Amino acid sequence: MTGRLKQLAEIVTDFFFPRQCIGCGKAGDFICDQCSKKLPRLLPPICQKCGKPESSSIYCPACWKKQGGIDSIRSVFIFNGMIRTAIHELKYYNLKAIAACLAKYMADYINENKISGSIVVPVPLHSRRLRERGYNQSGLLADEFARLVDLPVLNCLLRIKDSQPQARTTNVNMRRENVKDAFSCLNKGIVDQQVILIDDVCTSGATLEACADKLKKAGAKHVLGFTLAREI
Amino acid sequence: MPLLYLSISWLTGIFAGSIIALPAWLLALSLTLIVPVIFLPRYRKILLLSAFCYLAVIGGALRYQSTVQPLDNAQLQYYNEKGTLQVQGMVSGAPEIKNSSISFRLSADNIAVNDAASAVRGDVLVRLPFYKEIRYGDVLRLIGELETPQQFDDFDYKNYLANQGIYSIMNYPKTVLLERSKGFMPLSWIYDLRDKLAQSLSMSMPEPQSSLAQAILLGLRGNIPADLMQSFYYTGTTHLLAISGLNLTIILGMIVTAAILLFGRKNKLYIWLSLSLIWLYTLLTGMPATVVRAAVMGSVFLIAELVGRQRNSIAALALTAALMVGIEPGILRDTSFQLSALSMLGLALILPYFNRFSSVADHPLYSVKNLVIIGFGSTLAAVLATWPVIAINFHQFSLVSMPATFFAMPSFAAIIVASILTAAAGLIWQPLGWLMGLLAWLFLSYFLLIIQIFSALPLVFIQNINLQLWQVILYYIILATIILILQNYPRISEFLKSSVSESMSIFNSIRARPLKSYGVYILVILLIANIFIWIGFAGLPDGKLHVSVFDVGQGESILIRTPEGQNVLIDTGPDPKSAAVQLGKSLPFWDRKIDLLILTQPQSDHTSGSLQIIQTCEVKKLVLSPLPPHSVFYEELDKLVEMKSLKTVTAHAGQEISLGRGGRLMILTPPVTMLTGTADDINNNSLALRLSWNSVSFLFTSDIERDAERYLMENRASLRSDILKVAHHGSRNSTSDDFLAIVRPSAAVISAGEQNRFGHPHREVLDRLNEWIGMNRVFITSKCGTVEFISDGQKLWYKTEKIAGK
Repeated sequence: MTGRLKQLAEIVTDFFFPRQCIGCGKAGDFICDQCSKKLPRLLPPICQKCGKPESSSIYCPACWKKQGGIDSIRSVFIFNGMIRTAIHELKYYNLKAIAACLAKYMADYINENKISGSIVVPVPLHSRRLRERGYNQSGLLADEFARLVDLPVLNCLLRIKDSQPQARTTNVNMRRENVKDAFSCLNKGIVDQQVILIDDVCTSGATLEACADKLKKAGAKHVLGFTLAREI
Repeated sequence: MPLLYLSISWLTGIFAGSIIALPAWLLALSLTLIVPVIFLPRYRKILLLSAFCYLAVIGGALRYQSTVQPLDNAQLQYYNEKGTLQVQGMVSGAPEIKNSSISFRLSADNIAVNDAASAVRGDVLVRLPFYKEIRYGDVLRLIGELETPQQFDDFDYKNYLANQGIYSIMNYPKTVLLERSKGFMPLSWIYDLRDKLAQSLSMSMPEPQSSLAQAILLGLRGNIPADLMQSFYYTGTTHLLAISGLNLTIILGMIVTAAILLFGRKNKLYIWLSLSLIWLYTLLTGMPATVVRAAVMGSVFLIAELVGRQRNSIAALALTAALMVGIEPGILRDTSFQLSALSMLGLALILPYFNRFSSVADHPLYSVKNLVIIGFGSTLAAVLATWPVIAINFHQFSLVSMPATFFAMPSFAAIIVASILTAAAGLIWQPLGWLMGLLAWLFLSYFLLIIQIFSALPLVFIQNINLQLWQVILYYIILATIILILQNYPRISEFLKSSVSESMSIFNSIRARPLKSYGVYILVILLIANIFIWIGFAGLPDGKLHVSVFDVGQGESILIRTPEGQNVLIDTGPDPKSAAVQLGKSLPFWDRKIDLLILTQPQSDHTSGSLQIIQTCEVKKLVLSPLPPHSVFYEELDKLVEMKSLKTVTAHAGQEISLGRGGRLMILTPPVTMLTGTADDINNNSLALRLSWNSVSFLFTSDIERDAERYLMENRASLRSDILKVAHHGSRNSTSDDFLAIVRPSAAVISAGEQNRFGHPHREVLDRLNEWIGMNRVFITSKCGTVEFISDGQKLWYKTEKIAGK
């Protein structure tokens, strides 16, 4: 029954607030079929660990040396064009409804590439920024994604340090420093889990790695960083 | 977008219904579209949509017809032009003061013609003298004649009122107050608040800035002086005076920003708070169509924020228009509603083209550039979308409308913010109101300056435009085609993307990063402080005597500013505002005290501004003539004097007021036992005054006539004066040759209105003055404007506002 009501509410909302394609303006959905085909996908060959484009299709040179906490990172799109717009709309312009549409691409990616996991964890927002923005965009993506792939969501990470936005830092080292000890993990039901860690954009991977560190320490068996977009 | 199609169909239907009556059975025809859905499932969507659009068209037409009622004797309109009758009803809107009258809407429920009472329905617009105290919720009995509103050459007044549901007016009826506060209580609180805020603004700022603030913030336009209003017409900027969507958008932006800062966005309190505040504000402004339009649209955007959806201006505008017109179909023909909707449409469709030129605001200079582009783009968009409607309705168009708006605009947000702060601060503690008032005053003065500069340009105002309806329609078709082509030709995506996310730029600006360096702020504050210090210095007492005979039209008001900076105001002009406006011009902005207010006689051309001045200035002492009170006006004056516990003195000949440093103000007439049996006992017993300081002297003769002049000549020697304020606006019954021979003035001033109905000043008086002093030393306020005399006690200088002879 609640499902039906939800559907009805959705139809009414769609009537009063018609969805428009963020790319071409066509009424119907946030990303229309035509624009959907033109989205900047991040296609193989990629590094099996960090997920960056890499011709050898195994490990990229940087990943050979590294003994990081995160097992691998995957992203659906390159952070560019319409995807950049979409993420900005989601993050800064309060277009929460687009999360479902974007999570669909993420779920499709997981299904196509047969990636497995047992639990979904979103990268958290500091409480101050949550107050400022009103919602956690990664949380919205994680909820919708988890619903589509039928996995439970666990909000076990906390952002305890209000570091400045990663977007304003300049290099990898700064970014690592910036998120160091920024997170903490509540040790609940994470032991031996295969975690899919969700975020909107991955740039250097510093945030994901910091999160993965804490998750591993709390007992997680495997951590996959999975983001909608990747900055190349 | 079904919403857009349905809204447009509904509007079309209502428009069609206003032209032709459609029968209800047409509704059934929609079945012809619904039935095929069963057979043609492929076209289900389009068929259903067409069916609903069709229903909306017919429904709209029927909705319009439901508002048309047959004219019978249960309607007030039926009694128009039926002679004197009694109407009883409740004041159903906030009364508005305009020039020297107060007008309000009365919802009638009872009418009595020749003592035969019957129930009646309908609203009447009533006009009364301005000093009558009428409040929302008063139940009144009016005795007067109902009239059909007049049709003016350049303004369809009848239609204008009809769109508001008013078909009758009643001018200056006799009134009996039956009951008070019978209205909807929350509404009366809101109107009370509005009055208090207006009062607070007029206490905190001089005229005309305070009237301007009241218009911009509270929608009280009636107080704006006529000549200023003319400047607004001339520059085509009256839209800035009416509370428009712009004002509401700025206020909404402020509220949302403040609410987010206070409560954050995690819970949705900020949205609900903003929603209730903008509707409170909408009620506060008296709900004009433009503000309601903006409030509904703002609400739609806020709800979009709540459900996390896109803010589509066009869909929101269509929904808003459909709702408003559905509730009040007459509004479709209301010009202000049309202009408001059109300018919004223009902004939504045309502004995105300009947004493309703006750059990322990562440097203050880029922010300035973006502001310029958006300011230019939005004014151009609004003008392109609205000018034919203005031209066809008002038959005039100002060429400087756009540049004037563009230059005035930057001050607009600041004016609104500063005025809100001033009004609120004044309510809490008056000195705080003065402090905030300084800021508002500065921005308002800039705004006025822009308007005055543009209104001084020649040949910018085109009158007698005769535009045909088909030409207007053709224009809009062409405009729409151009927009469509632009949309479809060079990269549709670029355009629509910006139309979705950027048309409501106010929401985006909330997230704009603050400037990093505080240096810019400090610089701006220093600059403002600097301006204030200079203006403040310029208004300090300069050790000289200033006497200004104000240009207040057909009436009188004179300000004496003593060398020590004391202010003596003699009379207050023929209407509530003009003397206050002149005071605002003559006194520095921080000086709001009148040490002495003298009303030389009780007639309205000398006293009408007194209520306003006592209310808004700090009057220390009131001097009245011994003449008996003249009208109901004096009852209001008495009430006010009592409320303010103002010291009042009745003056008569022989009294003397010391003004410091040897300045003296002598009262010459009337004698303790007043003159009787003269040609006009009121005029002859008005207060004549003589001001002397060292070796200069002024004679202010109020309205005295030959009889009082003779009395003066018989009883006194010290009439000789350098400057004569000619008695009774230059009437031929005053200023006799004998009198002039004794006074022997070296210059004379006449306070008279342009082309007044009394023919003042009279030819004979001018001839006499010409003979005694020469015409080039006679100043008439209708020609020279305000005349100011300045003296150091020995010498005299004069300054006129306008160059005489023009």
